[in-house]
Amino acid sequence: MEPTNRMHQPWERALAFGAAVSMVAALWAIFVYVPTDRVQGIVQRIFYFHVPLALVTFLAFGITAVASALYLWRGHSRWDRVAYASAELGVVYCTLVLVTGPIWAKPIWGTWWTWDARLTTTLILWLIYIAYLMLRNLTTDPQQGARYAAVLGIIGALDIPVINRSVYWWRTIHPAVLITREGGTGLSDPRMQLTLAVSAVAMLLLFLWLLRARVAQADLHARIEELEKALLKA
Amino acid sequence: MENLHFLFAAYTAVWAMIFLYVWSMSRRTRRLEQQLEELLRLIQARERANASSASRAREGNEVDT
Repeated sequence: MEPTNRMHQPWERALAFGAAVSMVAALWAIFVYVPTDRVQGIVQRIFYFHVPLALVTFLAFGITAVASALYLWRGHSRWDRVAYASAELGVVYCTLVLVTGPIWAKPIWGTWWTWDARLTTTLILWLIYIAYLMLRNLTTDPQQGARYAAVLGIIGALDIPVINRSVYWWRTIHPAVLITREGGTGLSDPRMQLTLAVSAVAMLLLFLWLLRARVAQADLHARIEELEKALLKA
Repeated sequence: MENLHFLFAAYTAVWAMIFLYVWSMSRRTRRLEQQLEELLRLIQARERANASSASRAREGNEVDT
C-alpha cells in the first residue's frame, strides 16, 4: 500500500523544516528582539501574529475562490478538493484573527468588540465560509454540493477587497498597520517591520504545509470512495 | 509588564487552536489509512477467490472433455 499523506518529496520536508525554523525565529523576534511600543505597551506584540493570520486568511480564501472557479470551468474533482481544504484552513485562520483581535482590543479600546467596518466585514467573511463548510457537509449529493459550494467560495472572496479597503472607505477606529491612511507605514521602527515580515513568512509556510497535508488527506478520502464504488460494482 | 495576561491569552489561543487542528487532522488521516488498508486487503482476497474459482472451472472442463 502507498500511504499518500507521508512526506515523500524533498520539497515537502524542506517546507516543514522552513516552517519550523521561521516560526522559532518569529517567536524569538516577537518576545526578545522587537522593542515594546511606547503607546500600546506589551499588547502591541499581538499584532505580529494577528496581522500575518489575517493575510494568510485572505490567501486561503483567495485559493478557495481560484480553485472553485477552476473546478466549475474544468470539472476536475482535484480542484474541488484544493478549494475545500483551503476553505477549512481559512476558517481556522480567520477564527484566530477574530480571537486575537478582541484580546488586543480590550486593553486598548476598552471593549472586546465594536461594530467597526473592518471587524464587521471580517466577521461576515468568517460566516460566509462557515456556511461553505456546512454546505459541504449537509448536502446529500456530493457533486451538487461541490458545485454550490464553489459558487459560494467565489462570491465569499469578494469580501476580501472590501475588508482591505474598509479602513479607507468608512470612518473606522481599526488601526492600519501596514500602510496608514496618510500613505506611510504604520510600523515606523525597522525592527518592528522586520519582525512582522518574519512572522508573515512563518505563518505562510505553516499554512502551505497544512494545506499540503489537508489536500493529501482529501485525495486519500477520494481514493477510498473510488475503491468502495469499484468493490460494490464487482 | 502591564496587560501581560492579554498577550499570554492571545498566543496561547493561537497555539492551542493550531495544535488541536493538526491533532484532529492526523487522527482523521490515520483512520482513512486504516480504511484504505482494509479495502485493499478485501480486494486482494476477492481477486484470489475469483482466480481459484476460475482455475477450478477450467479443471472441470478438462475432465469433462
